Amino acid sequence: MRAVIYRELLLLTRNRTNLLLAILPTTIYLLLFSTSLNGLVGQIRYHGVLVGYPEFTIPAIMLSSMLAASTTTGTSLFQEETGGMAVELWSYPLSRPAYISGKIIATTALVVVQSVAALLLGVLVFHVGWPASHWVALALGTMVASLAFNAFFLMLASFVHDFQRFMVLINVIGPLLLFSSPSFYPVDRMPPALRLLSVLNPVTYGIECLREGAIFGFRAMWPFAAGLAVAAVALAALIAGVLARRLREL
Amino acid sequence: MTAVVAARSLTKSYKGMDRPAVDAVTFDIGAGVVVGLLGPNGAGKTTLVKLTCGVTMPTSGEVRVLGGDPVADAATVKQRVAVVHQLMPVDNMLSAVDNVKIAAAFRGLRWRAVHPRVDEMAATFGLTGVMGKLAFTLSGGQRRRLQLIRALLVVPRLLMLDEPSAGLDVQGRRQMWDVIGKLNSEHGTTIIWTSHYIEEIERNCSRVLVVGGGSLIRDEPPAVLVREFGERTIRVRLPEAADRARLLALIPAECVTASTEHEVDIAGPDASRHLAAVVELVRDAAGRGATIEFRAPSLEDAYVALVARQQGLTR
Repeated sequence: MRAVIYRELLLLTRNRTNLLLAILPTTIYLLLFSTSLNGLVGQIRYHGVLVGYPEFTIPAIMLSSMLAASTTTGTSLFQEETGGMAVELWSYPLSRPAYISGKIIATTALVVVQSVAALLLGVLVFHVGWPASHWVALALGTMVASLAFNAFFLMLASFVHDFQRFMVLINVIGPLLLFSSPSFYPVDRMPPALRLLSVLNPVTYGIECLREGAIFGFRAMWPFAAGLAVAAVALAALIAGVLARRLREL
Repeated sequence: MTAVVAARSLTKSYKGMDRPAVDAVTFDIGAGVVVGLLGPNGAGKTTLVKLTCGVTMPTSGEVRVLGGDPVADAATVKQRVAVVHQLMPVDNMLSAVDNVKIAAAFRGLRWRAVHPRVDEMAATFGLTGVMGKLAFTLSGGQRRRLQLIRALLVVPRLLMLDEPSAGLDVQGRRQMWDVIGKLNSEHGTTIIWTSHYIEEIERNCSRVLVVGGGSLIRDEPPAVLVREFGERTIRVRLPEAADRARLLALIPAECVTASTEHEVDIAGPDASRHLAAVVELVRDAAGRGATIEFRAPSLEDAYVALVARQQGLTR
């Protein structure tokens, strides 16, 4: 499992383009939200409390970064198969459960790292003043949400066999999921159709989890975190089954 | 003694294919043997390699490698097995040395422990100067050598080479033969070697498995195949067109296996009946540059004849 994690880490850190692509969109978002949009919106009423726009949007920007990182891990599954690396990796002495759990853990760890990097960048440009316990809650929420969304995109990659179809799918559903959730605006300001869609949208619960943790702390966050954890475990089990079936066709 | 590889009715079917890629194959390979695996494209060689190294699992039947199941006992069995795959898979966006480090990590080896061996092999294969370069910038031959280094981080009990010469130049092939030969003679490593360069198999292997249509057609030493299927060829060189026309009129068309501007190859069961007349013609045309040469059959000749016969039978 350590080897799987080591490889994923090398693949991310040694490729400067990938690293830049992982950080650049988040940086641009943060600069945009901290300057023009922050000046435009000012404060927002969230669950009856007035919060600054930066506090409201940092969780959404983190989740956006999380979605981008998760799609990359889904894409890597295809690259491993088409480039023959899957065959090479399976020639090494590793068991199937170890590989599958290693893959999920490694890619989740990388998603967490990228999300935390987004958070740190956010803190640098926004200067938010959350208490320490809220930071802990946010960190925990980040881990659980990363696990769930990474599993979500790995699941999509496991089910879709055609790489082109997968790319089209993630390019369509990425923005759709983000903008049909209360990401950069409160749910009561969304159009009725999108409000309905947001109830079915998993990203809504990811953002709510991080936002509740950051603004109100762990007590407000835990139902969302628990829901995401259950979803992550269920998705991981599903992926394990699908990947094991797919490996038989190598 | 336990066979290093023991396959029993080994079968692999893939979804959407009308026949199994490997069909009820049974064989044993003992320790220290170098076995060539020959067959036309799509015959099932690569699938057989993938089944033996535990990359994929059989649909039915079984394969035991070093006494274990390469899928169920992967962690134990694969520790003693190394493979060079046909597709030259590497992580393109990582350097050559990072690719080797990853292989070491997957084998549970400490980089510090294998580093000297990697340096030594990089020097042997002429890769020292490119180990820091990104894998996608390496030539096909360099990538193949990198694969060999990656596979030989440890001295394996079983080494599988799936078309290892593809992409290698002549020097590279000879270097590889030397390294593989030493591995076999000094450490007793069992080797399964697939190749479309038949002379490579003839030179390096003491036994040949020929597969076709997923089935095992023959399992013999190269010499037996050559004796059984190889035919001596008479190559007649006739620079003058008129002499060639005389020769072609003299012998039945089915005995002519190749005919070029200056040469005619004669073979087949009836060829010897016409030998005296051919020699007479060459003697007569000797003043015009005519020569005759008797070529002993090679494994390649035998293999071509065997596959042609098999394909004729299946048709």
